[in-house]
Amino acid sequence: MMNERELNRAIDAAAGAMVAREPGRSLGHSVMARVREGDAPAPRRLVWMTAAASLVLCGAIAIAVMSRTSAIVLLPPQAARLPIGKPPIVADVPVTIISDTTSTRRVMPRAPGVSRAGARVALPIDVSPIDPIETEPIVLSALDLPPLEREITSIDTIEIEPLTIEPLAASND
Amino acid sequence: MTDGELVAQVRAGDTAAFGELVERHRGAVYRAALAALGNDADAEDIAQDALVLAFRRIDQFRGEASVRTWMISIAWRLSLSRRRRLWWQVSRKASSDTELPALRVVAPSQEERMQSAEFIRDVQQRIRRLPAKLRDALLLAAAGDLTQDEIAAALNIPGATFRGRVRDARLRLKAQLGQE
Repeated sequence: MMNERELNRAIDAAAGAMVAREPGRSLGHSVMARVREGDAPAPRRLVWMTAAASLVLCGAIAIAVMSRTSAIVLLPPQAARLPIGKPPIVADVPVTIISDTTSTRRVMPRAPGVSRAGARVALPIDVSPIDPIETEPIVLSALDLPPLEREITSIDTIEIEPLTIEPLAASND
Repeated sequence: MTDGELVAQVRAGDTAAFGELVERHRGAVYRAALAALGNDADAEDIAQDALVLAFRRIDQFRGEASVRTWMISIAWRLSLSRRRRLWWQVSRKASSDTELPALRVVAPSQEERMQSAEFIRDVQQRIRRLPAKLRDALLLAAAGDLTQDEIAAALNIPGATFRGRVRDARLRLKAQLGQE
């Protein structure tokens, strides 16, 4: 069992050994290199002047932005300023019209790299020529129609008995 | 030339005067960072940052404390900030063998020397397991670069608070060691 003095001495020795070290020589060189890289310490007056100038600059920018924003808001929209009756603006889409023997085809722009050969596929069907059809000319001739038979029917008269009103019974039977 | 005169020269634009201040106080700044961080690489990194920051803020030095105390206070704040990010690494940092040669000087004979080295390594492990505030106070006091009142000023705490922390750290360690 150690006495209190020995314990104190041991604690001092242990704690002292944990921090009893010297920094490397490079520490001072590194510090001075960084110090020389940077500028001299800025005086407080310069700091305050810089802060004030920054504040003024920020204020000017804010005012400019606000005034510009309000001008933009007051302007009417672009479509409203167009004259009435002006033809609509059509988007400039590249369209090519190819005149073919039977019809016109609209060729739309395609993505680069897509070949045209892939779009056209040759049909392997052998179409033989069709002979022309000969038709006889139409001749107009009068048609002989029998006369329509008219059947007249007579309507019998309907005899209706005269309506008699009977007195109501005294009882509900 | 005093530290105050060197500070005046630095303010006047003499960068070399700051080099002299660095040479005088880099060890104390480094040891303060080492007390907080527990490893050489981080301590040297923080010491470098602290000294560069001291140069850039030389106009903020009011002369109420010594230049060394002022520089250590900058290093201490940076160290605590770094420690918050690396606390888990610090807590797992095992004791290195590089500490042992210095410790072996404590005991006179070979047998006692080995026993003492082992015992002191055990004490160091216990110091690392102390609460951070107690450990910081004990190690900064053990570094011996500042008086306890100067350390308290650097840590921005009352002197009585700092002395109480050192006392509590000792009491805890003695209670643990006395039980065995």
